[in-house]
Amino acid sequence: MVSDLGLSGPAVFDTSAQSYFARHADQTAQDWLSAYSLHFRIHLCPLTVVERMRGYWILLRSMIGKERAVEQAMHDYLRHLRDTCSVLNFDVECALVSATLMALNPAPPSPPQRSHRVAESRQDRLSRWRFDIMIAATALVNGLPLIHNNPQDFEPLRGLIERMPERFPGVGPLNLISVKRLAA
Amino acid sequence: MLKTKTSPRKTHGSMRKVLRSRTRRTTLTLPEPLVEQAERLAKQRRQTLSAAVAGLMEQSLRSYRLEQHGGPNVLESLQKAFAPFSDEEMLLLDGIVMEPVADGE
Repeated sequence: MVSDLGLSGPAVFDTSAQSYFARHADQTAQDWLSAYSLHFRIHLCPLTVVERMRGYWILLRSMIGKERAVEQAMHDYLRHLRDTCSVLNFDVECALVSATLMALNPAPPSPPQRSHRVAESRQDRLSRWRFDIMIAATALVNGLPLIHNNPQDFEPLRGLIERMPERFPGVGPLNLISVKRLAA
Repeated sequence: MLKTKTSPRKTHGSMRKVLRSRTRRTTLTLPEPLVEQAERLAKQRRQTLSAAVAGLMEQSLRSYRLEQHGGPNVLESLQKAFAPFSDEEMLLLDGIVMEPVADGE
């Protein structure tokens, strides 16, 4: 039953949500994804495909001696895209909503990622923030919920749209669903 | 640790081939109320009628196929696409580009 999913239609999956399901999901979340796929395709923003494919190409250049494994994984990803996903259009309405969100929220809400010996540059953090804005705008304009594992970035956007609905005529609110809620 | 070298061997063209799907023009006779509903949905989703009907058909056929035979395992196909990578490498696939930092930074 579709109602068991807690959704009335398809949802947009953020990059972080797909990774969560692939690598960290517990049995409840895995079962939810299987049930979801009985009814709907995984809807994606084109920016998610950009993030993924850029990652694959960087890995292909950097994982010396493992090129075949990376190429195979890239083809598996493209097959996954073709067989189970729908990539939405990023059109002029998405661009307009993105521009408003970027102007009202110019700086990323959290610092660049950092671990022991590696760190994300400020420029990369800013570009990732802008990608997240465009992903949220795509879900918003298409009137679809956004499933994510990145509350630090998406919750401030939801809050902003709720506080300033006059800046986003004809769209909203942004319906966010955390993957953690699906696992509960 | 990530090293950089060699240029990618695959072209974008060969990648696109995997994604391309063909269309066929056909004539169907459908109940008018159904067509009207599909037109409304298409307008709401800002799609062509063909795209909206294709989406609905695909969704129904998917449910039917999966109920009958079980279908492509979404989770399995996702896991395959990310299988060879460590957590650090997965960051790149999530759009997070990390660079080595100099000592003391």
